[in-house]
Amino acid sequence: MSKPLHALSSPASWVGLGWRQPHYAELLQGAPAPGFLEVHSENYFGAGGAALGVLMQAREQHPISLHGVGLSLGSAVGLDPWHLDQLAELVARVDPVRVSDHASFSRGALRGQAVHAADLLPVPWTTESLNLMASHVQQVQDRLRRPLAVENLSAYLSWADHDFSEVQFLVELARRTGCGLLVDLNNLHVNARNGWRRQHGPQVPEPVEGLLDVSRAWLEAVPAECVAEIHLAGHADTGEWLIDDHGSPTSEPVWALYRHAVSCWGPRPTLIEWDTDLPPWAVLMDQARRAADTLAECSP
Amino acid sequence: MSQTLLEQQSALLAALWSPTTAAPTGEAGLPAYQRNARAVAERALAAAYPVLRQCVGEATLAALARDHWLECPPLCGDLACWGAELPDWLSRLGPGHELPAWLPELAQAEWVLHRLATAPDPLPQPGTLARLVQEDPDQLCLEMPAGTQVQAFEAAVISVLLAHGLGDGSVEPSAQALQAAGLRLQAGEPEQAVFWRQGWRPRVRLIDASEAAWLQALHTQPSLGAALRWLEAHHPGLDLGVWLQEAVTQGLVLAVRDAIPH
Repeated sequence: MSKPLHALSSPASWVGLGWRQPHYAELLQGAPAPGFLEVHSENYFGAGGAALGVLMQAREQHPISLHGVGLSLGSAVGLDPWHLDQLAELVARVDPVRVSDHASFSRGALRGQAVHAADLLPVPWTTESLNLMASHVQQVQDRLRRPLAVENLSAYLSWADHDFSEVQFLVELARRTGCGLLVDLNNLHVNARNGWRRQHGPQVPEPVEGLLDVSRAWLEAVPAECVAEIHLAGHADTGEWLIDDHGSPTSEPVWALYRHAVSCWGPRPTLIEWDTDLPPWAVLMDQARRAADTLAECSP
Repeated sequence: MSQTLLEQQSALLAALWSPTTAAPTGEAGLPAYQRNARAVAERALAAAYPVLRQCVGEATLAALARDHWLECPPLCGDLACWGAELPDWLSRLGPGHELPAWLPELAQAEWVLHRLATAPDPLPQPGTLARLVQEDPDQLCLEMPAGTQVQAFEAAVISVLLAHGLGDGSVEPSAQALQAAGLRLQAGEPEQAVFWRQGWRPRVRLIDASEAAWLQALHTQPSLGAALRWLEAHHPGLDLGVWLQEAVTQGLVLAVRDAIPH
């Protein structure tokens, strides 16, 4: 296990699937497996139990990527030492191929105590915010003794203050800390379309190709050597908002962005995220096969 | 740390936890986060309190989850830890909510089971049991799974839990067990129970006063010998041979260890 990705040859081995509880047994009983499995780190915190036991079984057969949603790298009240301890313990047990979390904050002061919002809240793209997040990323990497991959968000709020664009902020974060970037193409697409709707209202037809060009420019601003992983996922459309709910197949505009990303950066580990309204495992494998085909076709 | 960023983040959290407050950014996205928080709260409580959910129904649990989230926010990034305060919070709600008076105790028992689910895995070592007939009990102790505990309840909530199969969705509650649990609740019968982990399964079973005293003695006395003397003095009559056989079979006793010198 823990086969380094550079040693893997077939495009399929670069593509992973989110592995959730309803599919635990099927995979362990021999269902076709993707190149790696992604799990949410926080679901395996704790000293023991069934979930952790199942994960430890899976790691004997499959590379594991630990994807976190709770580190709160942008938090002005600091990282939670308990959370970092739990993550470090899990990383030591699992020896994952990658560890990642988000360029967001969740933890903050409320009514005189530090609370956790259990959501990925946006940070302002300011120098102050960058300095803070860089110090936290460094703190995590020092503790884990491995690079972290940091993911761009889908955000439904934005701050008025900014010294950088989002992509400038993330690239500078990677440059300062040596962290990788986990580029979520669905988040990019969701943000672009929600940005249009906020500006023009949901009734005004969206220039989808023009918005894709904006996202393509975002991707072109990221040096290939910074990209640790790509995420693909589906979203829901409420009419007012596109919501990054990971509850449907990857949309065609996001596949278009993926083709562009691969042609810019070459093959990168790619994850199909599907977290709600889970389909049969075979449907997820079909999505993985499509990503592998795209890697084979579009890599420079 | 600059006050600015700290204040910005605090303002956003305050807005999320106070639905009437305007978003600090002046944008319309706040409700998307608030909707997500409500959904997260409902899922988290439903996972931790499956029997409570069956007892009060989906809609009531959802309403409780929303209110509890607003009053008792999560304090860490592991949502499995959120809900610890629910039993106390339920007991403070008062009669206006028309919830059963025994609901806080049911929640208390379910929370013990929920936390046991991620306790350290028990490792039975049956080979060490031979020490019980070979060595001085004052030099020995019985090892139980981490997190094993005895709790007493004023209402028959353990019967309710057991009648619902501990919330295991794959088991249909038996009408007979539900009826019996209802009668015990109506009669106001108190219950004591031991909670532990058998393999990956959190377990609970009813115990009588003498077994409760024995389990507490095993926990508090310095050695097996001291626990035996204490039991003989305070609760004579428990058949320890039968008890041990059952406890080993159920994974409640894992091994015989050296007593820790005091």
